[in-house]
Order: sequence, then C-alpha cells, then structure tokens
Amino acid sequence: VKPATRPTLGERNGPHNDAVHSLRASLNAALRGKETVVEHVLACLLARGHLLIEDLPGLGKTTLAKALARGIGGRFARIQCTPDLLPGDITGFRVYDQKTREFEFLPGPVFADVLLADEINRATPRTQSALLEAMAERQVTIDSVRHVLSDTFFVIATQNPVEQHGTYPLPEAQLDRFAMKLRIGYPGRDDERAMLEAAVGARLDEQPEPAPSLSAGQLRALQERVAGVVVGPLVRDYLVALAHASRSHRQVTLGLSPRGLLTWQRLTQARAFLQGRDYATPDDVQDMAGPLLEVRLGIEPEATARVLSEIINSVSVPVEPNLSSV
Amino acid sequence: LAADVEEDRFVCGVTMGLTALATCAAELAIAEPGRPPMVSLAIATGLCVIAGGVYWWSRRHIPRSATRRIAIVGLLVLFVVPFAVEGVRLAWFGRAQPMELVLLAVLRNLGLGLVVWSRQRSFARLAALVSFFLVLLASSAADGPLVLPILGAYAAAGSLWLMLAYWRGLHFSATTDGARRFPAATLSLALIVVGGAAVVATMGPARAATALAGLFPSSGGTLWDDPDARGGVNDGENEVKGSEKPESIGFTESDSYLDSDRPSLYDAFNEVYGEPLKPKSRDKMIALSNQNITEQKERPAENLRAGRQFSAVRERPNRPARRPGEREAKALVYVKGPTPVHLGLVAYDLFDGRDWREQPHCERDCPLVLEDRNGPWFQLALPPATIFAGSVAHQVKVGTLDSSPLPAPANLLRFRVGQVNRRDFFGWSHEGMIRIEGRTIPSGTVIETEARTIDPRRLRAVSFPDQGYSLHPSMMFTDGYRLDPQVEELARSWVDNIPRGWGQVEAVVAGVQRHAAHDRNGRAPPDCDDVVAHFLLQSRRGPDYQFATAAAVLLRSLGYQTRLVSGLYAAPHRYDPRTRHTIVNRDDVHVWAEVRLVNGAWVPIEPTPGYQIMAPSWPWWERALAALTDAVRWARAHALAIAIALVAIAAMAWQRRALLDRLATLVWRARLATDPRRCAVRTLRLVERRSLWAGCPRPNELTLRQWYGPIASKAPDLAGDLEGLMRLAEWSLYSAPQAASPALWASGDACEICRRAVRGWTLGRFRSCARPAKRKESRT
Repeated sequence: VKPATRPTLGERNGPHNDAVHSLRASLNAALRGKETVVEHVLACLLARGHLLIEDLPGLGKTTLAKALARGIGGRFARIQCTPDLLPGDITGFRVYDQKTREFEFLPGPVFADVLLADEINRATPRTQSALLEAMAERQVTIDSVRHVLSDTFFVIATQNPVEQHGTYPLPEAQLDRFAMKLRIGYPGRDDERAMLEAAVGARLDEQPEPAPSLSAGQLRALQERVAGVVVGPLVRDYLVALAHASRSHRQVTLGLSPRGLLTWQRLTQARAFLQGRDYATPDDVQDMAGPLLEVRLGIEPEATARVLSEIINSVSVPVEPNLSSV
Repeated sequence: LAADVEEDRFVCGVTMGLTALATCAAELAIAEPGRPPMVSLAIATGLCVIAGGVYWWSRRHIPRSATRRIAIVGLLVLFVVPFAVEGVRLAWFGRAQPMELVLLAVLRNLGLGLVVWSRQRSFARLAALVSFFLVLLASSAADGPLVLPILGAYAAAGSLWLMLAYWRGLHFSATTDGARRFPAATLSLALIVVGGAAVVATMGPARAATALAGLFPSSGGTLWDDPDARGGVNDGENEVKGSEKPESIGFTESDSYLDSDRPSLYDAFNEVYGEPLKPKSRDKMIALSNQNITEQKERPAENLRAGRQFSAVRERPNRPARRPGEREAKALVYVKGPTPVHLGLVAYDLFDGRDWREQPHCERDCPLVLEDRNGPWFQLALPPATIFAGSVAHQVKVGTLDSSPLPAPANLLRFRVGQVNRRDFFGWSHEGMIRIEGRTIPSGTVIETEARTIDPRRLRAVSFPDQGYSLHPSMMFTDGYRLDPQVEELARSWVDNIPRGWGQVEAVVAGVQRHAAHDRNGRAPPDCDDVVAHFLLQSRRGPDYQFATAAAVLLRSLGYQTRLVSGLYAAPHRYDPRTRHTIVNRDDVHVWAEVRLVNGAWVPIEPTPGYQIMAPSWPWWERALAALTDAVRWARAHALAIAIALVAIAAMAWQRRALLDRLATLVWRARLATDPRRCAVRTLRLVERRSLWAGCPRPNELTLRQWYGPIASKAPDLAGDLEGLMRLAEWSLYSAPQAASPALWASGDACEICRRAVRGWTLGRFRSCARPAKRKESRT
C-alpha cells in the first residue's frame, strides 16, 4: 500500500534527497563494492562526526576522502602525519610580513572542509591533541586569536593496524572525538575486475573536476534536518540500555560515555534519514553500533565482534509500546 | 533475565557448595524424628548429585536462548511438587507434615532448581539468596550435632562467595593489570586466622575455649526456659527431648524416678515394704528478744574465718546432680499416631431410660502373651476375624489423666506400658478394655498400642442374627423401661427396605445424625424419665452422650447388641506440629457407642456429628490395588465419556497452537481499532504470537526487520503484506506521537494492511516459511 495521504520523506526532502543520492552515487563510483562503508561515511558526515579509518595501505582511504571532498563541494586538505609534524603545521601560524611590517596569519589545513589526516598515529601526542581539539571545538586558537573552522569541517583520519613500530596510539579519551571507526577491507573479485577494466586506457593527465553533488550551504541544511529526525521513547530507552550494557560488560575497559551516547543517537538519526524515514528505529541503532562502539570501548581487535554481539544480544529490542500512550 | 550474563565458573561452583550445605541442613530439619542423620545427609547428597547432573547436561544440550523458559517451567514444577506430595500423603496416610517443613522442602527444591541454571548470573545469585534463607530456616528447625558444623561451613563458604562475587564484579582499568589477580594469599591468611580460632576453641586448652565460647551467645539456662532454646545449661529444651522420644519424657526411664514422691509403677516395693526413712535435717535456733530485733535492722556480716576451726580431714565434695526441672502436663493425654482415634475408658451396658450403668468388670483371665520385641509387649490372644484391615500403632503419653483403664483404641492387638513386664499388673476392665490392676496410671507413663482397624466393606458382609431381647446385658433395659413406640417407629422407618446387617447400623447412625443437631450445652430436663424420647422427639439437639445413647438404644430396639463407651477423642485438628503429638484436653472427653459382633468384637460407631471413626489402615499394596480397582471400575463405568474426553484432549493437544491462534485472532478481530497505531501494534502482537506458535519466536535481540525480512522473502507472493505490516508497525512504535507527527497512513489503509498481513501470514504460512529461517549471524 502506498502511503497516499502524505508524501514520503524522500518526496518531502525534494532537492536534498537528490543531493544525497548524487553524493552516494559519486562515492560508490569512487569506491567500488563498498556500499555499506559509503552509507556509514554518509551517516558520519550528516551526523557532523569525524571518521577514523583503520586499514591497510592502498585500500582507498584517500580516494574516499577526496571523492567526499569533491562531492560536498568543499576544500580538501591532506596531512601526512609524521613524528616531526608540529601543531602549527596543522592549525596554521603567523609569519612576519616584512612589507607590511605586520604578522600575517597563514591558515593550516584544518581550515579545509574535508581534512584527511593520514596515519594519524604517527604524529606526536602534542600534534594529535591540536587536531583533536579542532575536531571537538571546530575552532583553533592561535596566539590568543580564535579562528572558527568551516561549518562543515569533517576529518577523515586513517591509521595502519599492522605497523605499530614508532607510532603513538590514540588514547581512549581522544578516540572519543571520532564518531566512528571503519574498516574498508578488500574489494570483491567482481569489483576488482571492474576496477582493472576501468583502469585500462584511462587518461594519465589530470581529469577535470566533476561538479559537486551538494550546493553551498546544502550540507549544513542536511545536517540540521538530520538533527530533527524523531527518536521515539522506545528507541531512546533502547539506546540507554545498550549504553549501560556496554558499561557493565566484563571485557570492556571503558564503557560508552555520554558524549558517545549522544553521537550514537545522532548517527542513528542520520542512518534513518538516509533510509528515507523521519524517525529512527532499532535497526538504525544496531547498524551504527559496530562502527561507533569499536572506536570507544577499547576492546582487543580479535574480540571486538564477539563483545559487540554480546552487548547487543544482552538487550531486548523494544517492540511493546504502552498502548494507552499510542 | 534477558540481559543476563554468564556467571563466573568459580562463583558458580561456590554457589553450588552453598546450596549443597543448605540442602543438607534442610534434610536434617525435614527428617522424621529418629532417622539417623547419615540417612538425611545421604538423601541431600543424592539430591545434589542429581542437580549437578542436570546442570552438566543442560550446559551441553540446552541453548542459552531456551534457558529462561525451561528454567521457569522447571522451577514452577519444583515449587508445586512438595505440595502435591503432601496432598498425596494426606490422602494416603490421613495426615500431612507441618506447613513449615513443606515450605522448607519448597525452598530446598527452588535452591536446587536455581543452581541447575546457575551459569546465568541472575539464577546463580538467586540460588545463593535462597540457600541463605534455607540454611537459616533449616538450622532453626533442625536438631542434632551436625547442624552446627553445617552452619559453620556455610558461613565460611558464604564469606568466600561474597568475596568472589564482589571481586568478579569489579572493573579494572587497563593500567592495573597486576591487580586482577585474586588475593588468594590474603584470603588464605583470613581463613587460617578464623580456622585457627575454631580449632583452638574446640581442641585447645579449656580457658581459650571458654573465652571464645563466651563471645557466642547461648539461649536457655538455669531457672529459665525458652521454647526456642537451641542450647544452654540445665533445664533448657535439650534436657527433655519430648519431641523425639515420648517415652523418655518425665521419669519412666529415669533413675531419679525412685526419688519422686509421685505414685509410680516402680514403687510397688515401697508400697509393700514402706518407704525408706529419710532423716530430716533440722536447724536449731533460739529466739531473740524483741529488743535485739529492732536494734539490728541489717543482717550482720558473717565472720567465717577467725576463731573457727578448719578440719584437714574431709569427705570428697559431692555435688548433687542437677535434675531437669519439672514440666507439668497441660493435657489429659498426648497421642502420637494416626488420628482421629477413640480411646475408650469406661463402658456402660444397662440403661433405664435415664441412667446408664457401668458394665461390670470382666472377671475372665486376661489372655496376655508377653513378647519381647524392643521392650516388653503384651499381645492379646484374640481370635482372628475377617472384618479387620491393617493395624495402626499409637503412643499415648498420660498427662493429667487419673485412670486405671488404659486409654487405648478399640480392638487392641498388643500394647506396652513403659518397662512393665508382669502379666499380673493387667486385667480386663470391660470386654476388650485393659486396665492396670489396683492402681491408676501415673502421669508421664507412655502406653504404646497396636490396634486393628475395621474395614467397613467387610463389615457389610457380616451377619447379625436377630436375637430379640436376649439376656445379654448389652441388649437389656432395666425393668420398667419401655422404649417409646414413636422412637421405635422412627428407628424402623430409618432402616426400612435395608436388609439386616451393618447397613442398618449405618442407617441408624446416619439417621440420628440427620435427625438432631449437636449442642454441647443441650440438657434433658431433670425430671425426664426417657432421655431418648426427649432427645429424638422433642429437643432434637444435645451433646454427644445423647447422640450415643439414642443410637445405642435404637440399635438395641432393632436387635443389635450395643454399649455406651466414654473416653477420649484425639481430634486431628489438635495436632501440635512442634511436639508432633495430638493433644487431648478436657474438652476432648467424648461418649460414643459400640456394636458387638457375633464373635465378640466391639465395633465403635460415631453418631455425633463432627466426630469421625478412625479410617482403616491398609498396607500400601492393598491401598494401591484398591485405588487401581476403583479407578478401573470408574473408568469402565464412564468408558464412553472418558474415550470422548481423551480424544478431545488429544485433538486439542495436537492442535493446541491452531486453537490458540484462532482464539487470538478472534480477540484481535474484536479489538481491531480504527486508530492506525493501535491497529498496527495489535496486529504485530498477533504476528509475533503466530511466529512463536510456529516454533520460530523472534529472538529478543533481533529487530522486526532482521527477523521477519528473511521470513517474508520465503513467500514472494505475500512478502509485500508482511513488509507493509513491518513498515506500519515500525512507524507506530518508533515515530513521534500523534500530535507531533500526523499519520503517514490513513486509518482505512492501515487496517487493510493489518488485515492482509493477518490473512496472508497464517500460522501454517509461518510454519512453512519460518522454520528454516536462520538467525542473522553477525550484525555488525
């Protein structure tokens, strides 16, 4: 039965919906066979979160970040984190202009719309802190001057799970700044075949930039719209119960923080929005649980799947409303 | 329970230990008096082994998801079993255990049942809690030397459990890995200190033991007595274990008996030769003048040292042994054994319309055979008769009753009175009644009896020849008394059309019970010459002796030999669970009648409403056989109805889910609301039930889409219906309330979606589509 009396959310969203579809399509074209990852990235973007990608080199982390920057029509910046990277290299610094005899501010890469911080765990904790402050506050303070970052500032940080030598692992408190942690993984055989096929005869010179999927200010409007998606009392209770379950699980060293719970709710809203609904369901909550909890709970990587499954299995999905209140 | 987590194995093991200890304590408390404690421990061990076996089996064969349902059903069954056993016991033996023992058994079962599922934390914690209450209750109810060690072991294990449970509940941060180790050394030290104190207290020097024992309060003591005392000095409860061995109460088996000034069976020598002379000690005093008394208001301090002599040659100090304090009996007699029971004391035969005359003492020699089986028992050499069922044993402890006839049930088979082993102590009081010759039974004497019970079915086969007004005293009325013709007519009308025999006796008894009302205060007028006529024709109410008189006289008028018996009635409601005896008070003095059979046996009849004759006692196989026979007879009489009922029950059991589904669908139809949200939620509920009855309930942790999505895809033609319902249900459950978010669906559309889902996704459809549905393996 088609819900005839009222337009669907997609119909109501109109141009927003088209923009999301277009962005999704461009990301899927850039990263073949990774629809789930793309959905999570989109959810993270719409929830105004930041993304940590942990995977091996060459799996498309930079490609994804670039495609995203192109899609939302913003500026893209990339930092290759190394131990000698200084906070000023990220935030920017003031230099003395001999012509004007004044200090001039040179903005760093954090003033981009999409920032790719490659191998973030290779930067020193001091540099990491500078970036993480910018992520949390969406502003940087240099020489007592406050500089506001882009409204749609979005960080994609990557780390390599294999080479741990000479790295500075992000502490749990700083990991909490990321909305989610994703793994891209290897593409399937068909996707790799198609990738190879597309690469044959590809032009070597710089290709013209395709038009961005979102117009100016549209991302901000979408993010506001996501924040308005309804989270009913049942889903809210479900979220709280899951958060408590994460805190009481024996193998979890650091349970979900209230900030993490707020992020989870926002991601749930974003996922519902991407599904074309104006209300969140337990499916949205569960779908976002993995990427969200993985970055926060400090579980051994090999036990992650089991612990997440135990946490979710320990809470019943709410399906019984109080009929008198319906 | 849904959010249950796995219990730590070590905690689980200690919980099992706690439950095992509590079960041992409970078994000791539940045990019948006299049962060796080792038997109780063996039973407890058996129960724990069974529980452990079920735990082991369930851990391997029952999936976690099914645990809750099975556990709850199992616990319910375990809860009900003791009550059911008590019901059977009541029906079988005619008496049940005290309620507190049944509750102990219930608690024990719950503890063992919970332990079976203790791999889940909530069950394990509940099991520990139940074991705590169980051990508390059991230790307050149990006796014997094993209770304290069990209690001590429980305290130690309980402390360990608390420590472990607390330890396992702690959350350590990643930086304190070293502290994760269990502090076994500290714990061992604590155990060594406590255990050492216990060893010193029990085996060490007396002073240390006394000092440690002083830390523990005791109850009971000199000059006071607490009924709940578990230990103490002198006249506490432990001195007189009346609840366990009635024959040990008082003086009958005590050396101090000879010193008692009460009359006894053993002071016959004293009566013959006189009492031994006891020199009386006298304090010689001189009177003081009044003057001295007024001057010395206070007692002067005694000077026991100076100016006196001290002899170095002395006797060994001889402290008198302390005797237990005397406990006055509060009842006439205390009865242990099946009740109700009539204990006859005096029989009357001649009746003159107003007074009964006591039956003369039987002058015949009392045919007693002494047999030595666990004490001097006397067997009555009575001819065998066909009317008897099995025999019952009673112990009657004489309290304040002062009587020479033995208070014993009718048709006595054998008896024992303390340690009296001489035949010449006993004689016939009346026919079938024994008395002690020449004296009354002293208080505190325990009479053990074994009497035959009468089978009413066999009585009906006994012939009662009509002897008319014979010369036997049990048939006679004194001269001048003629039974009122109306009374005779009444008796005849009650037995009209009933052939002569026990049936007529039963009819007369039932007639008297129907005809008059029991009234303890009813009295015949002082000038009444015919009590029976007054009772049956005028007042039609009166006390038990009027009922008994009326029944006896009416039966005599019909040609049966009867007599009136006065004695004691041990009523079942007087059973005292604490002492496990039935108390017979002054209020239980009772009068009834007895009918004489041709072979000389007297059969009690009970005409007074509210009183009952002792039920026949059967060996268990006879009872089982009788029950089986009755069941077969009843089944043959109702064969058709039973067959129809069985078929119907089988069909219902076979189709129970379909029936439940029909019922639920009817309710759903009746409550189908116009509001789309209510409509969707109720329909979802119905669909969830169908999925449950189809054997594939949605696991709690899976969302509607995760579970019903794959199911819907199994039937492509109907998938749209189920998916539509899921969309509608999700919207109803999770979207904003009505005011904030107007319906996406018109009410007609919503109802139509629900109807289509219910029509398409029937129970059968779920069965065919849902069974192979697999749980979603990984979600993240």
